[in-house]
Amino acid sequence: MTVLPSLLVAAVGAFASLLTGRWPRVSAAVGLASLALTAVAATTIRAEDELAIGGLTIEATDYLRLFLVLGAVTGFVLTGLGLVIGDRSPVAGATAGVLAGAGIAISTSEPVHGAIAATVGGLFGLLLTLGSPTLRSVGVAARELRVLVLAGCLVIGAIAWTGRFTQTEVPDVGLLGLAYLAAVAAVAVRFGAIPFHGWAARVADAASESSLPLVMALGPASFAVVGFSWLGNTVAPLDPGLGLERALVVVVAAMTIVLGSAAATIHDDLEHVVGYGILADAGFVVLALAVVDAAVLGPVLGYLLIYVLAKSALAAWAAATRHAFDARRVTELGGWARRSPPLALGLLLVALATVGLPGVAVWENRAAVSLAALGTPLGYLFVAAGIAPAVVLGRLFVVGYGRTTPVVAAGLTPWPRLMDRTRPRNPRAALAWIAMTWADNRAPIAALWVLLLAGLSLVIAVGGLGLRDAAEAYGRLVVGRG
Amino acid sequence: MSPGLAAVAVGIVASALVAVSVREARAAVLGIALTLVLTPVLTASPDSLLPLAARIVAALLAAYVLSIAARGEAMSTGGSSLGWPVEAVAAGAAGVAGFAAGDVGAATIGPPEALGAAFALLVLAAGPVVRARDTIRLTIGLILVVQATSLLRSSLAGSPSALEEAGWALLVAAVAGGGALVAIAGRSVTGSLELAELGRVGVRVRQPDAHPIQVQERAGATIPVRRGRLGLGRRGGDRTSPVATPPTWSVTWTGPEAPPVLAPIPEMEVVPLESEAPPAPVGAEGEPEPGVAAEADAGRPQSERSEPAPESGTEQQAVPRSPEPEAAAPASPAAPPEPEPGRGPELAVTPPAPGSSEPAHPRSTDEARPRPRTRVKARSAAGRTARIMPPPDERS
Repeated sequence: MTVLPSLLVAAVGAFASLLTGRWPRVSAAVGLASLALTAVAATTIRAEDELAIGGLTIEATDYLRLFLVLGAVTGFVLTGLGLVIGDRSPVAGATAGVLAGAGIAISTSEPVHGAIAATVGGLFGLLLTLGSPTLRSVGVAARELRVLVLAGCLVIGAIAWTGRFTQTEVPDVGLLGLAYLAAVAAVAVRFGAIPFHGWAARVADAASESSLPLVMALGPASFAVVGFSWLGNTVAPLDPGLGLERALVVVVAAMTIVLGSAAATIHDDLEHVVGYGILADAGFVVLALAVVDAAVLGPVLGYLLIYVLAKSALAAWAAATRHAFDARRVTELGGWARRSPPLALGLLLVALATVGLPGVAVWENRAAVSLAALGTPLGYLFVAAGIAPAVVLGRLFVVGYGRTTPVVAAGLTPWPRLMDRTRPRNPRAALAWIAMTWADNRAPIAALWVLLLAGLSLVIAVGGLGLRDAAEAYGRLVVGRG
Repeated sequence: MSPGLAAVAVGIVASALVAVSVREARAAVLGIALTLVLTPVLTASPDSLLPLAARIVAALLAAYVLSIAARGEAMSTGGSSLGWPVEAVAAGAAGVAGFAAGDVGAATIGPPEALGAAFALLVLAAGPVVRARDTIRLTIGLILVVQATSLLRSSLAGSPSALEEAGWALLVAAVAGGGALVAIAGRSVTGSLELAELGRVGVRVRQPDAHPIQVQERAGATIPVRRGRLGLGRRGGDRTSPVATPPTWSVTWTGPEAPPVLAPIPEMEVVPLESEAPPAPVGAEGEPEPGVAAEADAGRPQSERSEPAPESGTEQQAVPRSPEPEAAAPASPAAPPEPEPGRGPELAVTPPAPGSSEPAHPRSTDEARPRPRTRVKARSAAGRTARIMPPPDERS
């Protein structure tokens, strides 16, 4: 019963924000309120609380609570950042919709319901791509719509097909393998894994930086939870083998990690760096799909949350940097780190949360997935590949501490300042003073949002807030559903 | 096999066939509405009618939002490239295969008719989803995929629970709403439903079927002038928007030598020779300067363009104008001019006979506009020339 309030608030807030979309400020306010209420309501979720509706069981877990709270906070910060830098994308409403779908997907005991909910929630991402319709964004949104629906139907079809095998003694391994590949392909397509990255690369062109993590990370993450649940409680107990199919998935994961990191390193456009950085790290999620074993559920579920937070922080950094220096090319950002130490600190926190160190949660989860998929010594190659984001972010630091470009020199100051220290004498003057101070301090406020999100992602990445235990408990629950 | 269920399955496939085949957007929406209403009837549990009602309400809601996106004059979808008979045969074959699959290996708990209908819907949805030319058609294809998935699920696992029915209803409404959102956004940008204008690589706009291939024989040679890339005419090939289709001009080889293939024609350049109209100031309202109109139209929606741009170099589009003494040599399309001595072979571009290729949908904005009166001559890279003749009714 403790799950329902947060889900209802998120769903109602999403639709209310959608209906008020004609007035962006009102829509943003409604969305922000719904996200704040969702986060508050989610904190009241008690593990092992169940609610039965029409034969369906909604199960409350610590993992669900963490997912909803962190997702709502991430959406709140990204919306606040968007308001500061002038991004009018309906991030708050879309985040609330994605969270409502994710909440049902994570808590439901029936995978078909979960897949439907995650797909419907993902459709809210269209609002972000179509924030300001252009020739390009409409075409991209059409592609995104196609990807979302086809991926959802693939997973549902796979679930329906394999549901028959649990009722028979000897499953048809060939048909089971096809269903497995269909479900894995659906999850890989949603993450934009290479070679299914066409739509994701175009989304990076059409959507704003602060919208990217919601479309490319948060929505796909809830969809992936459904996929892992199905793998853990339906496919894994059948012990099907599936050697060839799993090898194919490993190849896709390797391509995504290596080529995605390479693309993020060589691209000059900041949005492309963020977009390819997001999909490159999704390679480890795809790699976990190659492990048809319930033992990997805990690590990969933990990695999913870290992934969402770290990539959201990276996108926030890119949005704030672009706003501060009015530049979207990496080559134009020479000297940005010297010019704006708060943003440099934010990117450093993002790097630590993304790459991690041996012993912290993000590193251990990645290593567990890699070794479970390939064993030793090949698994260590993937563990080493986890350092690839350091190259991408290192390049940004090298540029940032290089020669200062005229664009950066003319950028906004990163430090707060007051326009006029004299006390306003009447309310109208006070309002004007606040407005002027706000307008003159956009860059410091944006940097503050980045630091907040980057710090939160680092806390999660080291295993804080009980992430490891929550993920392990949810993994056990999923296996028990089978 | 239950005759009632079989009839419902046939109804589902038939309405889906209408949805993917017709060009009128509203008729397509009506077809998908029928599909959405009939699908839950095939799989619903007879014990509870509430889930069935929920899905029917969702179907009507989905059709309503799609009809909002399809509002407007002459809003058409791409229709089926293969034609409805081919789609019907393919869907029928898939339906039979799906129905028989229940006996071969896919043991069904639900009705086998649902499995057959699911296979048929997947076949019908393949074209709109893989090669979507417009947003409404893409959305219809995606809705068909969703319906096929729900039928597949029901046939393999039995009638869905009430909550699952509600989930399917929500998914259908959400997909239709998302598609309508994209379509409306696209219309706000381009004024049409077409995805080809949104930079889709490899997807070309298809014209209506009103204009057959035109073939004229001159000097023992036959050169078909077609609008399609492959010259397929009625079905297939690429065509332009139905709203702005001009009369088709034909190219006739009048030289004594063997006719050229169409390959050299893309090298032609259109050279304005002189202007008979009083020169209008560039940028002033009213008559655009010849040659400038096409450039100015490039960034505007198709429906607002004064003249459609040529699709490819193989088709020369010219504007009718008053006859010139030296240009009015051919008295009619049946009597082509003889090549001047020593000039070598020529290509004469002549207009169609009056009334033979009128646009399917007259251009309301362009009809009243006076046409530019500029003589043009096309010259190929190989030195061949083509004269742009006035229409027959203006030559005499």
